[in-house]
Amino acid sequence: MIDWLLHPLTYAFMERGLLAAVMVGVLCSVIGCYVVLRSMAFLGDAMAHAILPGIAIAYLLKGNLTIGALAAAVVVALGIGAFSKHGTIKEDTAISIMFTAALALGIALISTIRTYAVDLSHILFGNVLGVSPNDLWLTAILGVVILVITLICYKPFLVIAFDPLLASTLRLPVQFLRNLLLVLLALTIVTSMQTVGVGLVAAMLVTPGATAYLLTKRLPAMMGLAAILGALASLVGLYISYYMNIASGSTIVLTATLFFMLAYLFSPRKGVLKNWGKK
Amino acid sequence: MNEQPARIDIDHLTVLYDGVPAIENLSLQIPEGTRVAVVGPNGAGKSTLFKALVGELPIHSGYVSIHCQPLGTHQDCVAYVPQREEIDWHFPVTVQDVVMMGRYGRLGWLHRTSDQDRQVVARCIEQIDISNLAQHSISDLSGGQQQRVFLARALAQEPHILLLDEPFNGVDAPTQEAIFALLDDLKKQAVTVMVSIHDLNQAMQYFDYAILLNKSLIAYGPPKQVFSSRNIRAAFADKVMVVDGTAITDDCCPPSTNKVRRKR
Repeated sequence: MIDWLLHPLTYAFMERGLLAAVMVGVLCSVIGCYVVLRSMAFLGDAMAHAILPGIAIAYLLKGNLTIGALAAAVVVALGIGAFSKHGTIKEDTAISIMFTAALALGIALISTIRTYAVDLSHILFGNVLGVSPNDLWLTAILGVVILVITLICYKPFLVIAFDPLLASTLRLPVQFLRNLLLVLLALTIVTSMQTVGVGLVAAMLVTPGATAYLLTKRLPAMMGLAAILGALASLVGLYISYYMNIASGSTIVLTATLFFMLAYLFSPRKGVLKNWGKK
Repeated sequence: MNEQPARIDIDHLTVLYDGVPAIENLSLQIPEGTRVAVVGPNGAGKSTLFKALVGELPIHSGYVSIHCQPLGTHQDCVAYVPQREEIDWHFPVTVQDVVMMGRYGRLGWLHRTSDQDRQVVARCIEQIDISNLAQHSISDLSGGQQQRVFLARALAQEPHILLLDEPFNGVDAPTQEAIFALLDDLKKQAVTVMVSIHDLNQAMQYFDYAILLNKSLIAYGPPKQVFSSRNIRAAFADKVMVVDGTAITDDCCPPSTNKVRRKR
């Protein structure tokens, strides 16, 4: 058993992949709690697709892919923030238009690259075994920055999620906080690009958070449990991927989904079976 | 906390809701420490008025001053208790967490709560008689208990002006009594309280002034003068019936289509 667990770690790329996957699992799950509570799941998904052109342009210019994605993500985050403020068309329509257009532009740019099928699949579904030491450092630094800001702003974020009206009453800088949360979400998505890819990142944002939501009654506990579940799903998913030779992004997401299904059925407070037993 | 008396001065106020005027050309002055009932049919602009006073809706034209200063100068002197339907009651917070939110306007940039904040929160929870619920999840509460939690949170803001939006809708009799007892306490502390209310008898009995509103001001003054059948008819139009000099309005249970739910 121990051999079974340790064997993958004899490869440096596997060790880096595991570290990156766990860090991303924790990060996505913590930010994901706000995504779940503010019903921003669709927005997160849209944002993930919308960074594709940024990556493509960086690739074509032979620049750093992560920096290209970062730039695109921040532009998209603030763009969506501005869109939803004016409300001339419905927010979900605006988001759909923007993210499908960005996705199309991204694919158009990537299709000009000769090896595009491989590159595209890495971006869409992650390439956790291709994590370089530099990638790992960037993930770690971004992750720490995002988590520290999230901790410091825990209370104002809680208010804008729970009762935006109170936030204005208290004269908190509501628009600034909203944009900050969107930027943190964008940064999180960029860091998870390599492990689960832009196609599946929405699952990592939403699923551990939703699982923890079913099992806890306070936000700090929800965030803590989501982080543990996210890390665990990444770890288990990667081992399954290694031994069964399946794409890692999908095994990680499917493991997280399994956790969710268990909580959905068996949660002591909100589980389906509990209510079913009452009838 | 009340060294400055609360005085609201509203001058030709117009507020838009979804681009349409919800309040038009409203002018009135509310003296310090009074208790004011805000009455009018659904869509008369009662909530809009409150939301403009707390800075949630922008003022389109006109002027509002509090303590002779423009709105927003005093950062935390107005507290607002929203209608209960506007809140997601499945949010993972406890009663104590919600009441503590009333203190968030005073936190420093690291957002740490102080011992004083915790004392105020404990006192407000005590005052509104929900100490036994402090650690409960808000999803476990009854309607009356939910209303009390929001009252406690508003108290924790230590406001000079308290706005209550339909606090008596769907709450039990003990909670109604608790709200009136609280209003008496606040009166002693010279806190100005504005309450939107459907029950004209309650408005008549418990309030110093009444504002009769239907987008623009119909009447403002002592309730007995304001609730003349002529004024009531002007405000409620055909939704009112006058029997033996008593006005009856059928307006306590608004149809759901009238409610614009806030997007989150």
